[in-house]
Amino acid sequence: MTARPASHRPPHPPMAQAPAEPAGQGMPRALVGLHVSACELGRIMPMHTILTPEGHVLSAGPTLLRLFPGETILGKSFFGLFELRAPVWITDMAGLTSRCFHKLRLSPRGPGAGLRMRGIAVPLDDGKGLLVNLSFGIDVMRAVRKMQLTDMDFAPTDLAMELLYAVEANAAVRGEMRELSRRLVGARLQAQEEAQTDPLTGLKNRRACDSFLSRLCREGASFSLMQIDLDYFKQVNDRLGHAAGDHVLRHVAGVLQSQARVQDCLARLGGDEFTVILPGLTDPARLLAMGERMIDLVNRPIPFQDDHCDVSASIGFAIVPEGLRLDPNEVLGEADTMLYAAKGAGRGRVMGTRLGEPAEPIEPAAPPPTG
Amino acid sequence: MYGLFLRALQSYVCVTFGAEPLARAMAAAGAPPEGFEPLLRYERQTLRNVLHQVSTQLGRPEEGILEDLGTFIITDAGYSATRRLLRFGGANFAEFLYSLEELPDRVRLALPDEDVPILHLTDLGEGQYQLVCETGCAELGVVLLGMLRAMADDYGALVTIEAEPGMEGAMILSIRLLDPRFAEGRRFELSTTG
Repeated sequence: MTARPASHRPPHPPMAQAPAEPAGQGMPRALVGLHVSACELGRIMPMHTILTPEGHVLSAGPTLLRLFPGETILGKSFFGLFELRAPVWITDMAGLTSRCFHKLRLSPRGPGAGLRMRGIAVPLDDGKGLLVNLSFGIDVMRAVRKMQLTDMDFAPTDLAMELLYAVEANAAVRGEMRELSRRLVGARLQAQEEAQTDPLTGLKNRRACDSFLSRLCREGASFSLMQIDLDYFKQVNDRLGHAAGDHVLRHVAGVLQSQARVQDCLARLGGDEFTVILPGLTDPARLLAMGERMIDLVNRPIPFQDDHCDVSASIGFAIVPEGLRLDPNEVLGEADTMLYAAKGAGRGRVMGTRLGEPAEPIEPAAPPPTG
Repeated sequence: MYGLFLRALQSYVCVTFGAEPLARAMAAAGAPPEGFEPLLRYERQTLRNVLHQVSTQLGRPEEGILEDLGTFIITDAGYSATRRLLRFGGANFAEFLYSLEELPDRVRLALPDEDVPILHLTDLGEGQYQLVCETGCAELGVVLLGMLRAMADDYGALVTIEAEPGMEGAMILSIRLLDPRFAEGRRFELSTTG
């Protein structure tokens, strides 16, 4: 690495050479006798400090000095500058000396208050005091923000830069992932919008129903259209909740499927409204019979958990003979009119009409049984 | 890989030349109309197709587009994270160059799956450096050239960079650092908020 210009470092007072020695597990202390200037020591340990036997700061690394901007810490008590908490409170040199070679947890007082730092102390030869080296540990992100630190403030061996890098890079990637999720949610909504199926019942939805109906009208084909509306559905929702309501809708969808033919289009338009389009079926008697069977099946109690749901249905239908090429909305409107007439006549009924002829309502001879 | 790359190319063309030429190039290249996902994998051929079509639509050589893309990645506000991450490399341009060898490892901290070119820097002395970019994708080397030029500006350093092809798709960049403090660099702090 290129040597950094000395001018970037805060000035240091001259200091007696401080031989630092290793913890020396099995290694004779005399083997290493270091002669390093305070400035040189500051390069490899920018957060070290050397304490006199009385616990006063004899010298300190440049980054440690930055924790106390505008303050002269040299000569001050280390215990006034830092709060040493864990694992025991340490308030004097005797305590600190007894914790030499152990991990220290400490916080600076002053502007850096609250930063969780860690450190280690080793004794200097002949009771000349202690060498203490500190680090921000995992709190380095906060320290960088709080103390406006730069990469110059960390030793080249420090992994602080890697930690900062990982945090920022992960934030960037997380941002991309959030964007991706946002786009996926949008795409899913669009897909749902364009889907042809009602997710609750598996029947076709309004969109699919509209396109089926439009095609038949365009081709001038003969068909019938049934509008089915449940009676007493709201009471089920109110009494047993929406799960029961959903259960009823699925059950009714099954009933319609059991009565319809494969070529028919079964749809739920929303809420408790169903539509069945029956291509080629124009026989009013068959339609009435089919509608009555549907109502009969829907009328039976629908078990739900330990309870049961009671609903009924009203049906209106419109028969479209071949070659009429009607507006789809007109067909829907006529079937709706019949549906309302059936509801008005007391619910649980089927009523229909044949379009393109003098309008004549088609009704069963006697009202169907109500359950 | 190439998702990040394709996404950046897409943004660069859109921001610099507009949505129209981008849409034409994407359509001509058979690219998804909604664009590329930065975190998904794409074939290198997709990159080549899109690059070729962008070049055709803009009437500009592919090399020029790639180098400008490198500059765009460093200077565009939408990519400020990339610039910041690169500035972590060092306090001046020379230190930044030294940090490039560590770049693939750093990228893998966040994107373990990404294939990043292997970079070897040799300090030839007197401000001259040789950077060998080993990659299976020569296009990446050209983008790197643009990024380095933009980073030199960012540091306020005056440099010349020449590129020549090396062995097996590698690219050799000869960097001459003429003046590390030629201009006022862009301000940079490690922390994003004060």
